[in-house]
Amino acid sequence: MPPRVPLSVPLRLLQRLGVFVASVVVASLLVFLVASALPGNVAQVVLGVQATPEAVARLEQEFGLDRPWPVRYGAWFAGLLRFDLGRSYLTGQPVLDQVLPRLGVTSWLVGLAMVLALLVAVPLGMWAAVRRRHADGFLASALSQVGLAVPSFWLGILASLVFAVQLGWFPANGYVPLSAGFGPWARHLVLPVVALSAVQSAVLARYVRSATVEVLHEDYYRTARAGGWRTVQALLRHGLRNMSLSVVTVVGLQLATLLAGAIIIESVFALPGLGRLLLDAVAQRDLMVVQGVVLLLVVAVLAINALVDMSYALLDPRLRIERGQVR
Amino acid sequence: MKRAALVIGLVLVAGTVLTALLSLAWTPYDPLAVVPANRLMGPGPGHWLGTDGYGIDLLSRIMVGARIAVLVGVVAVAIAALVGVPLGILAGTAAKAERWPRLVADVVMRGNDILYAFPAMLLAILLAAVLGGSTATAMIAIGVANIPPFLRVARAATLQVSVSDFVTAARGAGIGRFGIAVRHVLPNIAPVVAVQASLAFGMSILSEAALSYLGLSTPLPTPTWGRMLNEAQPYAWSDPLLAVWPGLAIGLAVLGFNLLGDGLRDLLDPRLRESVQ
Amino acid sequence: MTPLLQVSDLRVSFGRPRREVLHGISFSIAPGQRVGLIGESGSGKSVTALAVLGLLSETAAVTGSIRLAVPDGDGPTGRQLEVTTATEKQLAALRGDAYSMIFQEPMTALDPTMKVGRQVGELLGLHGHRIPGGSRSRVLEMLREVDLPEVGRIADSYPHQLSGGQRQRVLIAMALVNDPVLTICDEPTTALDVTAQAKVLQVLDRHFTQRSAATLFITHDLAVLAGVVDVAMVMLEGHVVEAGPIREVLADPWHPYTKGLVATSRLELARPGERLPTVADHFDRSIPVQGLREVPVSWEHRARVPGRPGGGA
Repeated sequence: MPPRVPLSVPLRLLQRLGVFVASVVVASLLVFLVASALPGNVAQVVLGVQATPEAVARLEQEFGLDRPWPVRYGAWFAGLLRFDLGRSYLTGQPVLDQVLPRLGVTSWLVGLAMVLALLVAVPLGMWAAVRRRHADGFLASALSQVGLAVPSFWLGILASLVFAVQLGWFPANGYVPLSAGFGPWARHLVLPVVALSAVQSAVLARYVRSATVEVLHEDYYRTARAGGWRTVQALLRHGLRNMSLSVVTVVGLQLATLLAGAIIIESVFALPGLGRLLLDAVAQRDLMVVQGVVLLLVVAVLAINALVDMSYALLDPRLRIERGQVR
Repeated sequence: MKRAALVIGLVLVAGTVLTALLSLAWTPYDPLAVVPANRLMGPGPGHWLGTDGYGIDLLSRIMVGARIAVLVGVVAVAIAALVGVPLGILAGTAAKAERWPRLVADVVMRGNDILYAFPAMLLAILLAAVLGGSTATAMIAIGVANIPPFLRVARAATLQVSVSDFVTAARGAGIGRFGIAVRHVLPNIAPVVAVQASLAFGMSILSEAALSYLGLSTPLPTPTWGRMLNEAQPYAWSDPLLAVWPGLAIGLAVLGFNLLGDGLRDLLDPRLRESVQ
Repeated sequence: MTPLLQVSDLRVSFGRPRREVLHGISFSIAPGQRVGLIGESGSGKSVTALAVLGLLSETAAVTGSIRLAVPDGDGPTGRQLEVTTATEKQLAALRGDAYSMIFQEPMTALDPTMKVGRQVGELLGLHGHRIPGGSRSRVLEMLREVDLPEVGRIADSYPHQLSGGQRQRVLIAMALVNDPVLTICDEPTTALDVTAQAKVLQVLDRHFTQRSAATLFITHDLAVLAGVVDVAMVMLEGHVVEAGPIREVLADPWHPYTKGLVATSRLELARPGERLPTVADHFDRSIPVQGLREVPVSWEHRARVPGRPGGGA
């Protein structure tokens, strides 16, 4: 069989972009099919059980639910291309209008949690690797093992118990937009971000640890040490960049988990984010909102992962586009 | 040290599973019986972990919660493994093949990458919006969300086995691709799948807890660890222990499955052990 | 003159239970002296090399003494550093500056994410050497010195854009850029083809001659050794079994293993149709190896010492 000929850099980027677009189409179809092809009658839900069959039929027609599903999917997808996520069945409001004001909360929560997780995980994981034959390194490993087993929302509950309820340092719940001032905004975000990032730090720290152990066995690390760099200097100067490839991959893949975690953390701390919107929509069976927001989150994850893959070209001059080994 | 982790993992997993089994036959109290007189009792000789806001024995509820966690875990891991492993073997054996099978393998892997973007939470939300929250919702959502790692692990292991001598020999002996997969590949990747199953089981318990906390899983009145945490929140000020027990149960069970998985991996894969130099 | 390196009764062991791989070796290297270390793989050559610069992994247990002379910018200071007890900071100050090392595997020994010119240049700044005209000029000069073509282009290349021989010469440039008094070469030519090998040897030989620098040159190839070093040690199963001026060792080996090595390297003596000689023809592996207790600074060949241990065949 002929070996695959490696493509040039722009072609590879273009190919990755194509994969991303195809993924979005497939993902949207998947979301649509689950939300619309399964039994359940939106019109009936909206009108309540007492509604007459005629009224239900009329509403179905109004929503366009009497059309076959491929037509409905086509209409929905065409809307997506114009940044139109459809209209809520319940309120008739465009879904996007409900999404936009909540986007900020979730973005801040997820973004800050990821940054904090990296700030904790990279030193912790490197420490655990370098000192792996000593008690303190073992402790760092054990800490991340424990962190991996703790549900983030439990941490959130305990954190609000201690720091909000008992000590009163931070508000126990709620959100204030950044425009209302940095102090109040930050105070409302501290506990949710910390709770969300704790588990993430544990996950990342384990990857950083194993990536660091790998670097410690690399020939170039030995060369750097023979050149006069001390252990930690050699790791930072020559290991970090090499490690960043696999760590960035994991960060991309973890984003999906982080978004899922954000949904529940928003619930614990009553933050008015996308998670809250989703759960309210689920409770009201507002399928159009659920469908739109779920797809939005999935596309965000797919987009970040596409960017991660493309960023390999920047991080690794050899431009290996294959993903790091991921468990 | 490594061996100790494996043993701790085994003990915690055995404890979780045995508790779940025991709860089928016996719990100290009726896990559903509301006894207003016994509201919010602290831990004591009568109720080892105390009672909740309805006067229900917490230990009994934790035991039933273990049952749900294990049940969802078993079904979810089974779904993930039964779909992911065959697809992974398929993708692995076809990866180096001629045109058609390779195309199929590529499509499977692309599909897998897309599925990575759907965490259990989003799938469960999608399903719950349509069908309502139930144990089955949680099982399906967690199961489907866990397919990708199984697929990936099975594919990687298959690729590794495919280049080994005995598979080459079997191919030379004229045994077809499918025959090789069943007879030679499957038994050889079983250990890797076992490791993944243990880790996925831990993930599943965490996901189930999250879903039931949000009310997207097993409906009332069955107690689950996640719901117990949700119900404990109003009592955070007066009775913080209510929120501690279910969290500990989740943490210990997940830790057990994670340690078991890691320990198994170290045991089965000597290459991962650090060399002397 | 104080030796640059003084090793006495060096023992290294690994693992649990402890397995000793170096059984008490002693030798010293004077300024400008070129010392060869020959032996088969697993004989303890590389462990010796790594131990000298304190680069063994944490799992290694080291006993005995390794002393490095500590020079300053102008020359010897008379101070010595005991490697087995030194801190990482003390060792790092010597590594890559007064003492450097070249490894066997050029393909993987460079950081794949950094341009090679920068990898050479950063070692100047690390050891605080101010270069008139900037470090770039010194880097290019160094790359020229190791006979690399188009040094400007090579300095701006990533390792994967260079051949194995070019990478090894970059690594040599890194090892020599701070003008070390002693360079440990751990099989620097083994991974290279014959042409690249000759080039690397020529570059090293020229540098040592011009700077009257010392080297500990490790190889399993007697032919390579003969062209580079003045004195040599033969290592076998963690012991030094023979030591002396390279010519004498080659002309009159006394240890059976050395005899075997010399015989197998002289293929021009083989007659057509006859079986080629092997080390095993001269040397019985079942006999326990006895090592030399010390190699004196004078590097006198033990073949001349009356009553030499384990002598004869």
